[in-house]
Amino acid sequence: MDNEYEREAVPERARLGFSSFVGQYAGEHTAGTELMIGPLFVAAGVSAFDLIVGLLVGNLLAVLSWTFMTAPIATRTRLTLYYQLERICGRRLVTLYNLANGLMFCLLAGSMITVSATALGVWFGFAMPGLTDLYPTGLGWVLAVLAIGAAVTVVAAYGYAFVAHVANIAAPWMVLVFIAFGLVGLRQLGVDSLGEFWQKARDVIWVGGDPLPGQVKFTFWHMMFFAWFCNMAMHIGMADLTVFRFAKHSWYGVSSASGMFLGHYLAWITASILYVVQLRADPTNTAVLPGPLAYSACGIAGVICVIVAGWTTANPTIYRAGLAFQAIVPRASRYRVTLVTGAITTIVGLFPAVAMQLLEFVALYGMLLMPMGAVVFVDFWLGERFGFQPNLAERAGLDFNWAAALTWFLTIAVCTALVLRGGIQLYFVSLPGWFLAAGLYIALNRLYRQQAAPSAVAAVRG
Amino acid sequence: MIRAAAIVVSLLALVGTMVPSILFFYGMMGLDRMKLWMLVATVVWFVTATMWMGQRR
Repeated sequence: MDNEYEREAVPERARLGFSSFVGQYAGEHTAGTELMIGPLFVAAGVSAFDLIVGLLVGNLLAVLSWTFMTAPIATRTRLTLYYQLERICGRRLVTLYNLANGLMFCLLAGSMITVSATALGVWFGFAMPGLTDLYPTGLGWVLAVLAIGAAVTVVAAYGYAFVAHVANIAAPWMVLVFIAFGLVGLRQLGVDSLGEFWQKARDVIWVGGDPLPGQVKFTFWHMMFFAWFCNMAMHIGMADLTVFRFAKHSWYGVSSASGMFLGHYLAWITASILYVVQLRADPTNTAVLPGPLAYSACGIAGVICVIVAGWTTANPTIYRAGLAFQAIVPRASRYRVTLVTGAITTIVGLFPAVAMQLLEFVALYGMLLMPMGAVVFVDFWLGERFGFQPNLAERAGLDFNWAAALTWFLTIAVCTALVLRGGIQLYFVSLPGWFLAAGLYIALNRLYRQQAAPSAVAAVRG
Repeated sequence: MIRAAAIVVSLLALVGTMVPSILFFYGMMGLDRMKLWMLVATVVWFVTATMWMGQRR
């Protein structure tokens, strides 16, 4: 879908039905990284109510964000985020956005390769990273990551369609394996019937208390905001304009519920159950290693699930990173750019720091790209109300809209200061950050038109 | 005909992926046997689903 209608509105004949989006979201959000995230909640000392209800509310808010923020703009403009941003911000600023986006994709894909490498550890028995490890743990680990990284990269460059096909085939099977993880884990924790689930959930599985060393304590609010904002770049950040421009109606945004409630609810919960089984068997074994966790629960089928889940989601991520970088150097061949991107990703995958700190990384990813989503939202819905017409760069022939750029930079600077100096945790800063970005863009846009680009204003008015 | 058979077998394989874990949950199957049946169902799913998913009629 990514290569079609990149610089034009999606025509009516190319629009897709509701089920296409249900399948896409279910597949994309039931990924290898879910097997990292679920256990990290347990490591963060979450309680049963906070996990079950916090995730429920947070995922619901995420679905509402796609439905009421992303899809309505997507189905009105029918443009990709990149083209929409180019019309507002100008080509040079979009290049900067592509660079940030591409780097984030590399880090994310790197953590997916890390997840897949833990599956190889089950067979080859090399030393694998612990919860607090930041660096490669030995030659075996390095060779495993290099092997998987090379395979993923070559396939992303030359056989993307094949992997997309495998991903489609694997998706329904993978969901069932995730459910099996949960059932096996529950039985091993002494839950004999679904009727006693809640009592065991409170007293045995997610008992709360102190987090493991080096982890932040998670409460209801952490769970809610994490579930809501872990895909912030996609919904509030507007990256999924690119997806929903193909939707026939804006209410298709609710299709994101398939990904949220299968991947970000069911899969996170079942993965966390497996980690509790591991901790109860050996409280000193705090390593979050999806491969061994899956193998202990479902044997080789579980290991295959980890490899397939990591691979099929790392591939499109590397591919998208390659596209983002290629937009910066359009003359370079896509294959060469993807190979270089894959090499960077593989190097990231060598370091378990990203995967082991995935909760923080995902929150950071959303925070960095969120301001541009606010710019798109304000420009589309509020521009005329506040006295400026939308798509300034396109109308005035600008290649760098300083109002949008300053909105982005200042929002990130303020959010970073709030986290580092203000005592606000990373998980909570993006909500006030969005309002700050929206306010800044309104103010800076007016100022910019009055002072910095009077000719642009004249051109727009003319 | 082959396509129809592949669809039926692959759907049975999906059921076969799920049922062993349900039986294990209710104490009606051992862990090792459950893992074996899940692997068999997995192989059958990937072989048969490839024959019809994403293929044109």
